[in-house]
Amino acid sequence: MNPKYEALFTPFKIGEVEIPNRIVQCSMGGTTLFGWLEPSHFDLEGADFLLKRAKDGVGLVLPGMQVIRDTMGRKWLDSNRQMYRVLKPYMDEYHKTGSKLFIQLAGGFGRSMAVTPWMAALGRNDLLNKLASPIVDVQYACASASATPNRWADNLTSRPFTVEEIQEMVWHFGATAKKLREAGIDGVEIHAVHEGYNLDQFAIANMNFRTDQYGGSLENRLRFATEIVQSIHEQAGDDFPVSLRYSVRSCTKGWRKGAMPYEEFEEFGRDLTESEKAVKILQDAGYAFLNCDNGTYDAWYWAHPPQYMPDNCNLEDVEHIRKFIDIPVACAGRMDPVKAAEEIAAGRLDAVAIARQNLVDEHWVTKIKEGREDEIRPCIRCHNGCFNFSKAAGTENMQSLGDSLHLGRCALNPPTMQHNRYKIVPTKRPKKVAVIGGGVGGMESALVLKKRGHEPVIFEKDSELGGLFLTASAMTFKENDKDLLRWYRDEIKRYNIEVRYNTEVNDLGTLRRGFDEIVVCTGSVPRTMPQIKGFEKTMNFTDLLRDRKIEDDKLQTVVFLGGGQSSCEAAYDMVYNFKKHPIIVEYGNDLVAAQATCLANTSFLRDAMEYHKVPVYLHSTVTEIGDGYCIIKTPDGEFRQECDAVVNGIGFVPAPVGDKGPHIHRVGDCVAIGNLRTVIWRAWDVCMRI
Amino acid sequence: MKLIKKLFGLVLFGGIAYGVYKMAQRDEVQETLFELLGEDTYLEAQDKLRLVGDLLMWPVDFVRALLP
Repeated sequence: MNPKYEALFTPFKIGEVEIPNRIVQCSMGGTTLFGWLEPSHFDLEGADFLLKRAKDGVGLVLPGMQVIRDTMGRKWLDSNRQMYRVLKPYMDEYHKTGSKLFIQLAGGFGRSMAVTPWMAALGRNDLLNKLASPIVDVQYACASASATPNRWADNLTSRPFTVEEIQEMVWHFGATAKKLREAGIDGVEIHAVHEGYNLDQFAIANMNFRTDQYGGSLENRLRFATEIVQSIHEQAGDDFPVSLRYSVRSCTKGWRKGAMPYEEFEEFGRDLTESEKAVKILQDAGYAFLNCDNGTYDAWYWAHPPQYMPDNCNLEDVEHIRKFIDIPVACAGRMDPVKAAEEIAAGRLDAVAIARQNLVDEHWVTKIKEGREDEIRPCIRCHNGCFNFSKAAGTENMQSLGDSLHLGRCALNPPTMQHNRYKIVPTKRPKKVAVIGGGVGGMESALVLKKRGHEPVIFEKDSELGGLFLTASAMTFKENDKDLLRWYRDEIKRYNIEVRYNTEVNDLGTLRRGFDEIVVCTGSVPRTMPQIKGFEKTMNFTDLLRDRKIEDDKLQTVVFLGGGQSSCEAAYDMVYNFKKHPIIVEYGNDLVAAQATCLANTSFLRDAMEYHKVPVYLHSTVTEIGDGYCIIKTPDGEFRQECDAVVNGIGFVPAPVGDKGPHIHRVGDCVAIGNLRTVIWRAWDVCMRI
Repeated sequence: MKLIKKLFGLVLFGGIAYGVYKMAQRDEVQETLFELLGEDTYLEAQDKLRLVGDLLMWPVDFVRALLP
């Protein structure tokens, strides 16, 4: 092992429980032991995933959050006796790994509940909500400290919890912890005075207008959280360790408004000064560990940082509040293991909390231990498979039902949390397979085929592998994407897969004689709109990003036709890194209004455009493009915009080679335009069956 | 006698259905279905069946949670 990681592999204590190393797997929605949205039960898929993480060497595993009362069915978590009976032998098996496991118990979502359209309809109507309440009580699920607006749905307001409801919940935290301890669980983590969840809504003055013992002073606002730890110690024992998921700062400017990492602003939520006092109160109440980051649902990109956020984005704040307490502290949020090891060695931090990397590569800890860190598949923080709650102006949570039921999967690694669906089964009939196109779809297909025992050959028209992802990863802040591309190229070499570069295949017939199967992964080409006068003058993303016209001094003002993710990312790169002047023209009512893209990612881009004062024209289009100008048509009329270029950001269309037929398969954007998840999952879907 | 016959029929039907379900899960059968149906139809059908399966598990878990 490289000595720079050594500090990560030293033990530490939470209360009386010794954790074998400093690596904490943060809780991720969906990776639960007792089910996610379903009525609570022992979840075999989650159990398999968590055991694998322990076997890989994670010191402390925190399964996905478990609401103390089921959202569906409304049973208390301590009521299902069968579940705890099954848990006991599982924990016996789990403890053989040496890893420790704390269950994260949640006090609900409150105004952050990611309501879908049907839930919002129930929540807004007292009668419908009452009728549905034996199955799902949306008004209870959204109940909060006070009447506050829902993060996801317009015109939906949380109702305040009654004191009786709070105290009932507090008691059940204790009862559940007792049962968990009896079943062999090592501790619990309370979720959360963190990220704007329910307990955080009680803790934040601007979200809590109560006048009873749960509102007013900081001590009162933290009373719910402090009573929970006391109830747990009363029922499960004083020595049962209780961690708290905690946001040091809210980084929130107002309802649904987050702050950029480099922004000076007035804090709407909890600021650093209040946090210094809060952590002392929480420690004195009995919490034995603080698992920290920043943010709220209104500033979601702090708690779920996309690629646009800097590495270790929460570290400075977390290390600051650690000075005010004696209990150990972990930091989460794009943590770099090398930096974390340095901080732990220097005594400024106790543990590193890492979440999504555990989904992408199930052997990443082992690879570090064995000095094979170059083989770690990197997380690109896309949230497309694990956490794709999405929202645009006027919508509720747009996530598909299938995704709502299965959080915690991975766009880049399909077997994660679906190990029975996606697996490498050696083939009994090895075949020679031509893979046309060396983009991500082609490389993933070739890897799956090779691992199964086939003999794939990649035909790539360019002189390097990567395809359209070479353009997508070209932006300054896309270091993770570039790492992923490097990882793919290394894997292709490591598996000794033949690549024929500079070989464009236009006719599949030429390959039929030499190969048993053909997998077409030829991707997509930019969509065109010839009805726009002068459209042929537009620049595409490859010109701008991969061919680095973005660096050209002559290119100062650029109009993006289309306000999707690619346009917004390129515009952000232009304005933030190159100090240029992008303008976005979008036909719809919001930027990045895509169903599959997480609100953490999209809200960063929207907030960034606002902060950097990028002109954004919604419900608008470009009607004419000329030399040095374009005509923009808005609802208020047309105007001439001087510009150095217009970038075609209206999307892509599939570009398959050849016809469909027996033994010819298609993977990736040449089937339908999607994202890395659709490309990679389909590569597995197809190549597992060849 | 009629009841015994009905029960026998039910058990037989359940057994056959379970056998077909288990057989359909075998990789060889899946590969054959993939070839016969074509990848688009096969993958679409698979997605829909999974969603139906997920939704069917809700009432099952719901009832299980109510059991003592």
